[in-house]
Amino acid sequence: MKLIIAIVQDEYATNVIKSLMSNKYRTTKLSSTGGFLKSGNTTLLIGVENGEVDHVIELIRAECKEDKGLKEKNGVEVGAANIFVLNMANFMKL
Amino acid sequence: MKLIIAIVQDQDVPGLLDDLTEHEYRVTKLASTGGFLKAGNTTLLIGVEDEEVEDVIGIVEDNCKTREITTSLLTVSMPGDAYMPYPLEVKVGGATLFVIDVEKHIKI
Repeated sequence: MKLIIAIVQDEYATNVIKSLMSNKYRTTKLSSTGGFLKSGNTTLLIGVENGEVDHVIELIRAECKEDKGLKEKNGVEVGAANIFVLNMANFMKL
Repeated sequence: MKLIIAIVQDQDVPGLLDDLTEHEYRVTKLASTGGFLKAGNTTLLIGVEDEEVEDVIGIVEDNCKTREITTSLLTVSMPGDAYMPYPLEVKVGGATLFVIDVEKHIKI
């Protein structure tokens, strides 16, 4: 069981969530702020089985592909998404 | 690779963010609420290489001093008729840190 924490630019977040939902991945959306640019972004918590990690990452990559001309924010090159995959000791649905 | 989850007091955040950014650590800030005092605080997600963990912990320590404040727990169900706010010495400030192993880190 893995927890994927994806920190995504707001502009891409809605598409990413739509795509995850249509692929039956449940996700929790947190609104967050970037430390450097102090600009808003979105943090997604996605709990998945081990085998599904790569699929989810591909979905996110696909959504972040089309260049919305957002690679530059006040002169700073900005990535679309920053993803951490964490190992999960236990996962329960109550 | 480690993910540090730091839960700090709101008033310490501006200084801490600047300090971390100066040292080129990337931080994501989430608004959160404390369980006990129900006071707002801030949760920071800091992704770092293993050898940088100590350095980041040091930075957080410098910025988040534990200090005493007097507050009164306003409990509605106070027995008896006279309502006496009960002063309470509570330690605030400080930071709670979780250091978690990151299996994979991908930047798109």
